[in-house]
Amino acid sequence: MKKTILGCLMLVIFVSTMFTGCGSSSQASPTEQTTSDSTSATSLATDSATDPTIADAATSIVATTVSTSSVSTASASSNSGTSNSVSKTSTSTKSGSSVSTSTTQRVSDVKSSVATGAYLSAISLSLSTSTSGATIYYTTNGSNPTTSSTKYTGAIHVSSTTTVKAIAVKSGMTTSAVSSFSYTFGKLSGNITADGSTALQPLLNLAAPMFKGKYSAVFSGSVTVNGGGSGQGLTDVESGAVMVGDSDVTVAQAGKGFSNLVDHQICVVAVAMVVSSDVANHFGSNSISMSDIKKIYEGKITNWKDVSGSGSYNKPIMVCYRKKGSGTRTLFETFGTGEKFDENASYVTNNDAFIFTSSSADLQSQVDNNQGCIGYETLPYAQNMRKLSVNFGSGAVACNYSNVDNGSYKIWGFEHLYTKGTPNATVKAFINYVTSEDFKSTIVANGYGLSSDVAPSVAASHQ
Amino acid sequence: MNRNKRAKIADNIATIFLYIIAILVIVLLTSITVYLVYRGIKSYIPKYMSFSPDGLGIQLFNTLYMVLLSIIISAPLGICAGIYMAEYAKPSKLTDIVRMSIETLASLPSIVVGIFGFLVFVMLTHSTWNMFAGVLTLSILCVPLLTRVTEDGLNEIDQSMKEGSYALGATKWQTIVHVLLPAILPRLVTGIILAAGRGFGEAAALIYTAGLTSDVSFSNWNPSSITSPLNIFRTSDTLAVRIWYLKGFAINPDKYQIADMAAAMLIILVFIFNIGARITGRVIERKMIGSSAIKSKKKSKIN
Amino acid sequence: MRSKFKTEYMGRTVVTVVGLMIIAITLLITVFLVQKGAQTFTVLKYSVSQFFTDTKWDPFMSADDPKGSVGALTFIIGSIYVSFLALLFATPFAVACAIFITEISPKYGKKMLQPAVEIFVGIPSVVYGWLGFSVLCPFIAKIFNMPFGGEGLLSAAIVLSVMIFPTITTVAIDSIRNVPSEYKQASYGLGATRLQMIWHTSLPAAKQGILTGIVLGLARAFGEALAVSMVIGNKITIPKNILSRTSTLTTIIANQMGSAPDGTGMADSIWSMGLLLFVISFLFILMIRIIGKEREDKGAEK
Repeated sequence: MKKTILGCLMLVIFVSTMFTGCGSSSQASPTEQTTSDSTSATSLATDSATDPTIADAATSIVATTVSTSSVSTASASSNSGTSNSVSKTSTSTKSGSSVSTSTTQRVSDVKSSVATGAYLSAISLSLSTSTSGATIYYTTNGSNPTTSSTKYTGAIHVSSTTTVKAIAVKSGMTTSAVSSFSYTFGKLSGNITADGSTALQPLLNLAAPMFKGKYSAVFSGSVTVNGGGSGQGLTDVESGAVMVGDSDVTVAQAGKGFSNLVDHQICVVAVAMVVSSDVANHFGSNSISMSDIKKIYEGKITNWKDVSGSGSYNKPIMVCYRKKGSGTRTLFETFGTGEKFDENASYVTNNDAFIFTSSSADLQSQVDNNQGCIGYETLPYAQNMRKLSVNFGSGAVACNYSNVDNGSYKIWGFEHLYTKGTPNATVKAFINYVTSEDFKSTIVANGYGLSSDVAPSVAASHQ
Repeated sequence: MNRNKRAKIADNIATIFLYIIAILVIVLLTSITVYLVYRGIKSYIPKYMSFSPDGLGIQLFNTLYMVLLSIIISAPLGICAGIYMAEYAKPSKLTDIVRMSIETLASLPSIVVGIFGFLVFVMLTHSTWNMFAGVLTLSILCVPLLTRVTEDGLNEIDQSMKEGSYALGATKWQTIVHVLLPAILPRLVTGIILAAGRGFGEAAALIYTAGLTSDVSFSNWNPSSITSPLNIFRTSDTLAVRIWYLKGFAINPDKYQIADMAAAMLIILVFIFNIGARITGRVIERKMIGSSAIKSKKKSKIN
Repeated sequence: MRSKFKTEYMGRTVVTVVGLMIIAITLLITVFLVQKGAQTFTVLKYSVSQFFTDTKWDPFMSADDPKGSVGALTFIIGSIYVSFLALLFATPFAVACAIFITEISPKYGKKMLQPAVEIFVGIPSVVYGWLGFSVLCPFIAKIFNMPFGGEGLLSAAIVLSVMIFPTITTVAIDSIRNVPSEYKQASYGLGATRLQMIWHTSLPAAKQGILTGIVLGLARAFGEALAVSMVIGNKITIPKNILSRTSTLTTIIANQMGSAPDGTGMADSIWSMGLLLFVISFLFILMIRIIGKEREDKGAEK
């Protein structure tokens, strides 16, 4: 029964990817090397959608460093706040842009005819890109491909556990992001345990059954994902209590005490300023300035009427904050207010308006069920909440991943999976799966962003 | 006469007052239970009872399984300790220390037992959260209860029963096993079922030992496989732990409904066990002693 | 004949071993908790007086944080406030119910009220917490017009009082029942009304037992973690008024255990608080024994 399901799945994937266009490989010289590893996409397809308009859309987008809108071919649901959440059936096409000067297009991602997964017998896959005239280079040893890697000329045969990474280059265009496809052969033993960041938890909770489904032929263990905060994730992977530590912050940001932890960046998460619906209604489409947010968390502004943009809404501000180990809070402090929030200060402890929330879910229920609240929440949790655009000094910036990618929205961070040393085959298969091309649509559909889309200079500032 | 009258009025007022309080208490209890069950029924959709990550079936199985295992471990220990205290321990400093230990164990906050379990069964063994750690921690909580029940039961037995047994030539151990234990069997059974009831509601001891999530597939019944429900070294969350998790960490929009259902299920479980304990106790007693003996027992109790 | 003795000795050994095992388990718990809890002071060199007198709890979570302070006074005060408040709410009801069951209406009391009280005991604490969070907190928010949700000291005290009420009641029932009927007869003989008899004879005679029940209830209130954590707001500050959010020793353990790397100030100070809870519950037992001894002495005098 399981085998027939797997067979049908493979057939569907095979057939659907056949339709996404095969670009012919022609000589082209690269104009730029991408430095991000593995994750990237300039055009996305969902697993089942076969959208012939992708090829057209990809070649017709011209990226500029300023434009922040993302074109969706299906309607993206937007809350009466200012965020865009990408629904599962829409495809959004963006082009990454280099900060310097050009508005060159980027070659679309390389696609494989065989999806990432576990296979029982040798497979033969073909690589393609929708940008015509692009040359594909690939590696099979897990390193990032360059133009000196093997050029793709015909079907690649894979019979043992391999990660195929590919780029497509074309002269006059930016090289595509690195696409990664992992093929696993042979049984995966053991289990996968992960805990840590509650911001990353929803994504991993989705990835777990998907991984088990795709790899059911070779993997019969369990995948457990727990929360506890980034701090706990790092601690537990360091001590060996879990195999994977999920973290919103890097080891360097978390502090000393961790040795030999290997970082695997899997995606990007943005932190939105969430408010209760009554506040959002008064704000309308106005933004809140970062300096006002800072003052609110310093206790200097206590009523919404003193916040510009609030339409003189006379209501005391209820300030929600998280505990010290929270990755969301660390991101907010590092890239938002720029200062550490001291919950032991008397203006916090003596003031009922400062509300402690013990988790993302708790903050969500506080803000949604009360009036006058403000808090910070990662986008995956904040998808159905009322969010405010933030003015960092040069205009209102909505919280969405296009603004993260071009650097205008500043409160965001990379999501990391840490392992102690190099991971074993089973854990490696899982990490390969969540960083593979085929998982990208899930990432985007659930409020996370793709790290490959982030402009390199913007990425460097957030390491 | 005035003083008497005042005293009589005070007496009547007090009586009415006490009746009101008693009725209030009964009303409070009934309304709590009825309201919880009502909310559980209101939010019921078949999905919530399923054995999938969306439902509570897994947690229900975990709850029953873990309580069963912990009773299997704690009942022998508790009964033996109770026998020791009642029959073998001579009044001495040592016995006093044992008694103090039992009382200390019995009144430890369950969160403290939980972190002890976390320290010893999870941290020091370098393992992850697993069911066995949770079961051992639950046993630590149940053993003092059962010890007390056994000891009290043995102490209340009529000495004549013991003496009669000795007169027939039985040794002490034979007396205990063949005469005394069967005599207190109804109390033992009731005690065990009540301890199980406590195990159902236990969450503080389990959140850091058995974990907050479960990942099992009910098609796999091989106890050595980690996704098998029977495996005791997997993480397992119970209904009570699930309520705590839903309130504090879950983000699905129907988390409150699931929590309502879980609360209702727990209350119904506890009710069933509580009433079951009483009925079982009575049935066993009737079977062992005979209904006429019970009637005379009742008479002597009233006097 | 031989086998009889063999089983006799075997049985005796097994049972004695198990009995002593209980001491071993308790000792184990004590040793481990002491060792882990003392690390804050012996290894990390925080001062013990700071732990008990400072309200600022701000220990380091990672190696490059400043050392911070491990003042647990906030939590101790929170625990004390919530437990005593719960006791205040529960005791009158408990004693009243006990009197009702024993004196006013023994027949119906035994049939209806006592089983009801026993079922109260069986309801799991998370269910009480859940009920408090979903019903009581919005209700309190509405009555007191609180814009930020009704979680706080009052909600926690009410939830706790419902939880400790059966404990106090059961013990009170037992102790009032154990008052020798001669006292009551004597009292009636002197012409007392029922109320006067209860107030002047039964209750004073049962004083020790009721006090034991109260201490047991207090111990239970002190040790409750999850139910309190759901309704108390978890803000680390001393409660200003009865509606404030606050934290207790148990809630900070339940919320933060393992949330910081092992060996940091935060993790170790939480273990110290666990040790403190252990010591407090041990003190409660001592208190109960002392009360019990007083009763014995009084009885011996007679």
